[in-house]
Amino acid sequence: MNVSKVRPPLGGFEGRLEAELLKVVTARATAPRGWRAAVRRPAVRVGVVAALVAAVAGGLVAGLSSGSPAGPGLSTAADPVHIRTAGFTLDSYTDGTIRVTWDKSRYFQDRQELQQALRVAGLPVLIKEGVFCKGPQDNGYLDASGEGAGVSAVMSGEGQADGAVVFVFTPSAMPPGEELFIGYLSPSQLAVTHGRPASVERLVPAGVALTCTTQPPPSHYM
Amino acid sequence: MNPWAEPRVRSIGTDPAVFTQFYRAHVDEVTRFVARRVADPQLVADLTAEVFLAVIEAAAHYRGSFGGPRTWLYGIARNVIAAEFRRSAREHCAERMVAGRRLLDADDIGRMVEKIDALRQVRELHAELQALPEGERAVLELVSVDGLTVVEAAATLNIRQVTARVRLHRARQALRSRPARSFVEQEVMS
Repeated sequence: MNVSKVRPPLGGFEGRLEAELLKVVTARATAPRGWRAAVRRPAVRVGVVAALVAAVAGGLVAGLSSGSPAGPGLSTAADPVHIRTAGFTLDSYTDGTIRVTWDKSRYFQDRQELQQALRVAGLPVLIKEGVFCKGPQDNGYLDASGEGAGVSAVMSGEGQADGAVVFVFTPSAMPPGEELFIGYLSPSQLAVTHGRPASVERLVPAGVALTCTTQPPPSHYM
Repeated sequence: MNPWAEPRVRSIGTDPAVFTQFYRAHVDEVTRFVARRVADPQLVADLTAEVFLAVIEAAAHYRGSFGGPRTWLYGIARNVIAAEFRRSAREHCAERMVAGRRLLDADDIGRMVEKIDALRQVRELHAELQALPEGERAVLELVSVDGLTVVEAAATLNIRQVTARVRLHRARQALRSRPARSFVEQEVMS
């Protein structure tokens, strides 16, 4: 039964909101499966619901677009990398840094896109949700912000006045043979932080079995 | 038959018919949830829109064992409002152009103001609870402000029922220990 045909249209604000939201749902329904993440969070904060739908219709929301091959492997990043998605922008600079600008509400949602984009830009990174890993020799140390040893040299973040967050990654600070691990709390783990999105970052050896747990660190590390 | 079985809820973000049914069943409830916490009609419109956008995003990951779609929805609404409260005043100024308020006309604002006015005492109650520790406040808020049962509040917060009962007891004890008791505190005790 098609409920939307049977029920009379809503009036007023509720009806107009329903129409806008249905555009988002319809865009997601018709988007290729791998692109759905880019069709979520339609920038409500800047009133871009309609713009997002138009972008989808025009084929502008195309997952990742880059001057470099957008495959899952690491790029040599010999050329500057500029990636634009519906959720974030990523730019690599001649000083070797990578700057990623996000709406802060999205940082904890598009982990696969972020992982792929950072790898394309030359940063070895592993991002998981609800799982927290460390290397076999790691003593489990985390500082008060949830970062393991050496992480602060590799990444830093700052909030912007417009609600965006800029993360600066420095691949050259990554010790040889290691990669950056980022573990987001899953929705069911957010009770630890009373609903506040949070993550753990560690430097871990690449290509070896990691010790992982689904038990989030205590809240004072978040 | 349960109209909101897990697979059906998971399709909310991609099936327009399912979304329409869910939206219409809950839009008034979500608007009231927001209006119990926010007095600005335009911000109520923004946050109501944001809650449903978050629902669209999160639906595919819905797990029915967490207490059903209503408590799931309340959990999302709590997160959206908490995120709003964390934003700085400066950010608020930079984010005035939002979708929800653009959808309001004069009649809508009038209706919204009526709804907000009717919930004034409940909103005062919510504001006074902010002094409590977060975990205890969250349970008391859902029970006393939103009218959920302790079981529903526990599901919304993803905590055990016994934990919710303990936190509710502690929150009420904390309010009882305060010297001056306002109208809204008396409401919480009842």
